[in-house]
Amino acid sequence: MIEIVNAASLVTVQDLGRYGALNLGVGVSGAMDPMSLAAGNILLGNEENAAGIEIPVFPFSVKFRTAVNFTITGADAPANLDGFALLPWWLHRAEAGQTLTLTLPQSRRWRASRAYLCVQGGIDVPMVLGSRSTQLRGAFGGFEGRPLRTGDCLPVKPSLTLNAAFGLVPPALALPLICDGVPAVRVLPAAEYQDYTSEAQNALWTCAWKITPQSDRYGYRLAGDPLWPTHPLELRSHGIVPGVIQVPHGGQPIIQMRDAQPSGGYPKIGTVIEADLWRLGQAPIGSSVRFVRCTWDEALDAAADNTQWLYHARRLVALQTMRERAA
Amino acid sequence: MNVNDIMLLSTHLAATDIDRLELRGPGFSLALVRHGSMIVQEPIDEENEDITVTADGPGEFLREHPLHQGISVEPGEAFLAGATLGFLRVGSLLRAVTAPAAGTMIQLLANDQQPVGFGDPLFKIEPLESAMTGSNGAV
Repeated sequence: MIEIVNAASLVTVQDLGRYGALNLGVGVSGAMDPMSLAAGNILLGNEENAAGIEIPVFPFSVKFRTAVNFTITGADAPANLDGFALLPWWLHRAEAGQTLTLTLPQSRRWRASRAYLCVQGGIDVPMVLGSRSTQLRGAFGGFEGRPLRTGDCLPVKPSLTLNAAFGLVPPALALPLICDGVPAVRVLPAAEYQDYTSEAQNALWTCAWKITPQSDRYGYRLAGDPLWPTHPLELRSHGIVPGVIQVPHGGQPIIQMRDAQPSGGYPKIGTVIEADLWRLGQAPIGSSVRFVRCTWDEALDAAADNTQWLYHARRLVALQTMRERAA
Repeated sequence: MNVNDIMLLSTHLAATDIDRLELRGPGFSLALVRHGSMIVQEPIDEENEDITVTADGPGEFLREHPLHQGISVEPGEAFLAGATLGFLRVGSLLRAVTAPAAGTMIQLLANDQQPVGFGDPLFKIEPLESAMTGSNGAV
């Protein structure tokens, strides 16, 4: 059991997402940075889709009532276990009674905003519609379908002793994507792209879009050059996915994120590729992001890069674990 | 060990490619060092118990964790046994180079981001016990 000692808002149990239910009007949810969640699970020998805790606001404290092995991935939120500093992206063990505290991320090497706490065996909440992610709008999944509060006790399985520890270098450092010094994501032009003026199209690719404070798991509201269509556009509601960049009447784009509604009627100027959603998921409020135009094939290659990174991480961790057992 | 034994040992040593032989026993210590083609007896520096921390496998040696900046153990700094002194990276896997004993960092023997192999020297540290033991053996 893990007891929440101090949680601000918006801390949720997430796995990699709830797929196959969009046609029921159920959004994807899942970790905003699925690469970090998967990496934390890989270090522990879990399946990549094991549920963890997503922490977007700090400080955050939990008390371990059961001895477990755990990792903290995502943003480098300086962590300590009963006062002892812990390395990020590393295997650790907590004995029953120990308290883990995460504080505000401050790394200058990687500006990131969300940390992930994974435990060996995953957070043992029930699966709903095939996933343990929290569906906030529908109030189901995860832990009672809601953000975690002080006093909540999350079920976990006890872990065997940890023989040795090692860590991973975050993919943000191995797979950098920067455009003119600004973190970037790759974008495919969307269905209504040609209904925008050439100034708007140009602005999409050249503006450093600022992520305003009105941004969260539902969507990121961006500030930058206004994007005007060539003629007024009125669309019926249609299915959308995380990554879709909608442009409401004010001309300021909104990127739909993991808790977005599965349908919407605003015109779509572009779509952030699925392989780069984790970069957006870590972009802090107030930071800027650039959109880099890519082709369908380049988007597939990007997805392959992510799969490769996870494959090699899993392979290296397995080799190291075997080596530790043999020693 | 008498003089004849030492001479016999020196003769045998001269026929090998060994550069330094240190022999310790109850109440005696002996060091035979090669200088060119000659073997010379040298006194052993009993006070120099510095430990060389070596790499336990191949990898890229890192002084700091990739996410951290400016957090590394500098010469003159003290640490506990098991403390992380640096890292070895292979692909995306990171392993820690840990202190075999509590002590003080004396010298870095490898550069940041230098590729190293098994046994390559990384740090020279002065263990706490030898620091606490004076030249007359008193603690």
